[in-house]
Amino acid sequence: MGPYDSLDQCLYCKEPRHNADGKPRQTFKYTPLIPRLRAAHANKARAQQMQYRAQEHHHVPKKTTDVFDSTHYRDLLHSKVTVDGKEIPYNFFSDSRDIALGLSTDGFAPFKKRKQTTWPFIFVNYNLPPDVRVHMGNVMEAGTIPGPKKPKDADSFFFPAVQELKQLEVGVVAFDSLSNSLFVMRSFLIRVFGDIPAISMVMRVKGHNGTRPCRLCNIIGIGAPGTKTLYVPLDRHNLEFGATYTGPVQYDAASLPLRTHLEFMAQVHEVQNSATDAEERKLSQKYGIKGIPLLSTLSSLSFPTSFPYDFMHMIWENLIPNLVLFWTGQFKDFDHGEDADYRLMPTVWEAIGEVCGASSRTIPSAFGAPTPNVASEKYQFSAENWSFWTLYLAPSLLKGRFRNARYHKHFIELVQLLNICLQFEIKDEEIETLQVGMIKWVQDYERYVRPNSGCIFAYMLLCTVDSIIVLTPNDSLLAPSRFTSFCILREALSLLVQCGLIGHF
Amino acid sequence: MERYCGTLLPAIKSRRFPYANLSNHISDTALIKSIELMYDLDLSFKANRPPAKKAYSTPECKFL
Repeated sequence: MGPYDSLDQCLYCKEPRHNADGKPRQTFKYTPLIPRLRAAHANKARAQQMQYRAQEHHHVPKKTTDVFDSTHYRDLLHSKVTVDGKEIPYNFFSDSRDIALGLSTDGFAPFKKRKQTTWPFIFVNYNLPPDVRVHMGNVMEAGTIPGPKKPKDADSFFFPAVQELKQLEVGVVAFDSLSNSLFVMRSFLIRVFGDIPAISMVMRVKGHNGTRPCRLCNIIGIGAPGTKTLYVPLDRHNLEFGATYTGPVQYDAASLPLRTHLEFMAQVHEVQNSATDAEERKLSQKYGIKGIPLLSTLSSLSFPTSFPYDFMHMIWENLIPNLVLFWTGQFKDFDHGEDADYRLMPTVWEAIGEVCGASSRTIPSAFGAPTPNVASEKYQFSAENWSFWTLYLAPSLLKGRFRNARYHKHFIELVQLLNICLQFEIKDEEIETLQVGMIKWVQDYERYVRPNSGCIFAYMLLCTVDSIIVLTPNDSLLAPSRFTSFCILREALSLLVQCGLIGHF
Repeated sequence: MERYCGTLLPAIKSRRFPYANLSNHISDTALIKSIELMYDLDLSFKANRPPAKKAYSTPECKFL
């Protein structure tokens, strides 16, 4: 099926499709979604649970507790469904049985050598109450894009899924066990989440190494002297950049050049419709976009706001570890200088590590996995460990350890902001606090830590606040208790902290 | 997502056709979940009996 249905050889490697017997050489197995949604509605207990979206969740203005408080979802409630350019005379989620879906994908290495990857993708049913929707049994696995290599054309694997989602936008007949009658079941995909490489693949953008590394805004990356890596500092005065650089010398953190749906789609079409390959390459590099993503054919998704940064990857797996690398003078191949005052003395860092390792003996297991020694066993740290370390251990452990107290203060400011992000309920005033606080934090970071290059993850903080308003990216909002919240942050598929949250997955 | 990948890892039983094996595993679990929903069953091989209580106390003698 799909656009390549009639082809006899691969577009990319020119290998024949069939073997000598006329059978396909490779197959991809997709597990259909519609029968499973039908089954869910046919089960009385499950159908009752799925009423959460319409009945149990109450939207209170100026408060954010769930994805259903996001501006994106609220806008959808007032707009008509469009399928293949045709407007259909009903609004999104007009029936209480309409299902809100999320899609997630990730690449993982099935074998120890980590050379091969396979890309499973799953659907999350947002109609279920937040405390159970990401449980293993409630997640709907759709299929896995087979390895051993990353797919060249991921959209061809999403094709059956998108066909089904379109069918679900129009509606399919299903049995409702609550009213004991047949009804037209509809379902809309409102969110796609995962780490940066996975989402870049789905959105068909160049990703974090491109000249426009951010998928939410149009900030242009510049190379640090002597390295190929691109960085996105806000202040670019006194920096060397290539002759081709056309961006501003100073970005205003309060008004970053955010991408909009219309602009994104216009750029996508410009790239796709370019006359020559060379022009296509040039445009795609300029915009950081590779082509038309298949998911853009769904009217319930908005590019790029339906694709927020994932909190776990952004903060716990990147920002905090990178900060630690700065403090220990190991961040990338920069010359940090022995006397840079943000650096901790090696002996000081070792002492902090020892206290960390020893602390796990006296911390109740309800707080999560034991924290390893941050100095000598840092490789063992999982996102959960980073989260606990940052929020509960580091504030006191780092106190008085820096040669200049401002670095400790700067870190505490970050912890305060992260604490707000992790609340179950975020008020609009708190979002304002976040906005102001994150801008200040990033500007201070640029001033203190490294005057001429900025790590991209710090800049993503600036985009986070917008995401909270538009889409509530933090699954943490869904956690039932404070100490299990970090497992939700792992995009979480279960709430049992005790159950195998050890090590890196 | 990360946790889901974690459960897929031990599910790969075939060294020769790992990806076909994984696909089959995914569609089979999906099938079982659907059957569970449609017929209101519990097909997880969970022992639902309560854990055996260790009785250290007898009516005559109480363990403190």
